[in-house]
Amino acid sequence: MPAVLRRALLLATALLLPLAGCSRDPVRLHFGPDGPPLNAIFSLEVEVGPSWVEGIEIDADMPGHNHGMITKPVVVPLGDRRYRVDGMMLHMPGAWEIYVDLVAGERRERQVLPLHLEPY
Amino acid sequence: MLAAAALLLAAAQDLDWSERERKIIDSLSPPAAAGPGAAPAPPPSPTNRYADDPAAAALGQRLYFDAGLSPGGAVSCATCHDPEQGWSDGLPLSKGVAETEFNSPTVLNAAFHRWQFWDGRADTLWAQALQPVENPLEMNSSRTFLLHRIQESPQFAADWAAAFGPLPAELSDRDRFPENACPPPPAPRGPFGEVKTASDDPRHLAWQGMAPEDQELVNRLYADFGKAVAAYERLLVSGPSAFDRYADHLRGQRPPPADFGPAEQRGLRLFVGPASCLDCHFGPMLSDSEFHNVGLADPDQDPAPGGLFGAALAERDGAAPAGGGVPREGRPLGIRKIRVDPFNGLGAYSDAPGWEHNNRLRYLFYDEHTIGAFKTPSLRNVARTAPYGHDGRFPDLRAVLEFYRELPGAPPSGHREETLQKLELDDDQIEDLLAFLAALTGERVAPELRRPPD
Repeated sequence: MPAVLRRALLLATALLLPLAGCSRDPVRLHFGPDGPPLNAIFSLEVEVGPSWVEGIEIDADMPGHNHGMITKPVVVPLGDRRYRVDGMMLHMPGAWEIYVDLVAGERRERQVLPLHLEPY
Repeated sequence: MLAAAALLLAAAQDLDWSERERKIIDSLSPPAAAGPGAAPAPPPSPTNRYADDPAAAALGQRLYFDAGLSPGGAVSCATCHDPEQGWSDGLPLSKGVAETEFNSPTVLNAAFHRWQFWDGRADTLWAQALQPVENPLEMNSSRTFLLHRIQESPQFAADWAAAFGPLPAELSDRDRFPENACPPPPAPRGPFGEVKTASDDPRHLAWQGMAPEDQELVNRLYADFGKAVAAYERLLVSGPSAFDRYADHLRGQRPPPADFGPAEQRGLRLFVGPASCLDCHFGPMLSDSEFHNVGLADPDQDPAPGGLFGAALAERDGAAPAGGGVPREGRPLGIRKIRVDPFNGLGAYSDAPGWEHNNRLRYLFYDEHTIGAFKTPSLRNVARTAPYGHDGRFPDLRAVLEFYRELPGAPPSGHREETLQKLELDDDQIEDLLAFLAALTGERVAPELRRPPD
């Protein structure tokens, strides 16, 4: 598959990810108008579809590098299944995966949202 | 007409840059706010209210070059950060009153970095300037020794008064303000929560005998010293390089520079593409200002026993792992130090202690992936700052590239950044990459900033 098409597919997947086993409810990530910045601390909003979710945890990783972020983000519930996440930083260009863990008691489901950052 | 023809001819000599390559080149050398050919301005420094104060900068420049601030009279900031040595010192390991454990990073363009030192144990330029003063391997001085010398010197005292107001007269009272006193370095908790024991250094004992309000006064003045040095160092910005002129040319702002020819262009293409340098060396400083373990093995040392935390365990226990000395922990130790530094951006001596100005301290954390990680150096002026590496092991840039071509050995602590693959470049491509790196050398800082003020 051409790289351009692959990147577009990844981006589309990241913006609207169907939740496995949860009908068609999405997890939506709302970045600023310019998208996630490279190598700068930023906040985002997470909109969660399933009604069973009591909270979320978030992390990000670069699978090709075997390491993740160098910051530890903080999740602030906003109500109505929305959360603000502060302290995100994707410090290197390349392929990232954002992990959103949907949590309720013992139940935990991880959603993986791929993302590609250019070095500019 | 002739000029237009010359431009067309020159344009034909450019490589056929893709849109993506042009965007990357723009990000490495963005248009200067003050127009083509102008040096960029460092980002604001809200924790230092004197950051852009000319009087503070003039004082800082005089302090920077004065070896009289060290008790032996032999070491100044310029000893290890010499303007004639690329603002470094040309040594593998820098040498103050004794040999230190790190290569001296250049202070040129240091104001653009979000962290200072190889392990990032200072979050501002002014906090960085304080630490070498009292380091027993560097100046081996103290905050009271330094303040006494400033007070005793008519020139220093006048410069200080111009920047901050007169030094308090009571400072000359040696009963209250000993000749040579400073607190022990803040003791960071070890990776296992342990705290280092107290010191018997006479400077520390003298400090413990001071009244808290006098300690506080000295700390405040000491912070001002750091802020003055930082104000000077913010002026140490390299001018445009051949690469910057070429980027201006690609934007149609000037004719092609004669000193950025085919070899430099081919090197640039490798840099922004297959050589993968951009993983860490991106942005206008050609550095992410963050920390990576590139896997510099100690040639005399086997990998540390005890897994990823073997080195940290050995450091805690004061024991050397098998095969050699204690490896440096790198970024995790830097983070622990910065958290307890009273002069960090959140502290009482900061001019902007709120979270909004110190967000990068708020979310800091470290894990096993940052062990053995050191700061990505800027590649601007890199040809002037040999030797290379946090321990100065590479005598020249060719040796650095050969390391990336071979990736020999394993790091003594932590693990190598796993995206690093052996650089598959032939000898001609290495020459091209070296030509590009040399083309990152910018115009020198103005002569009047490269020596003590008149």
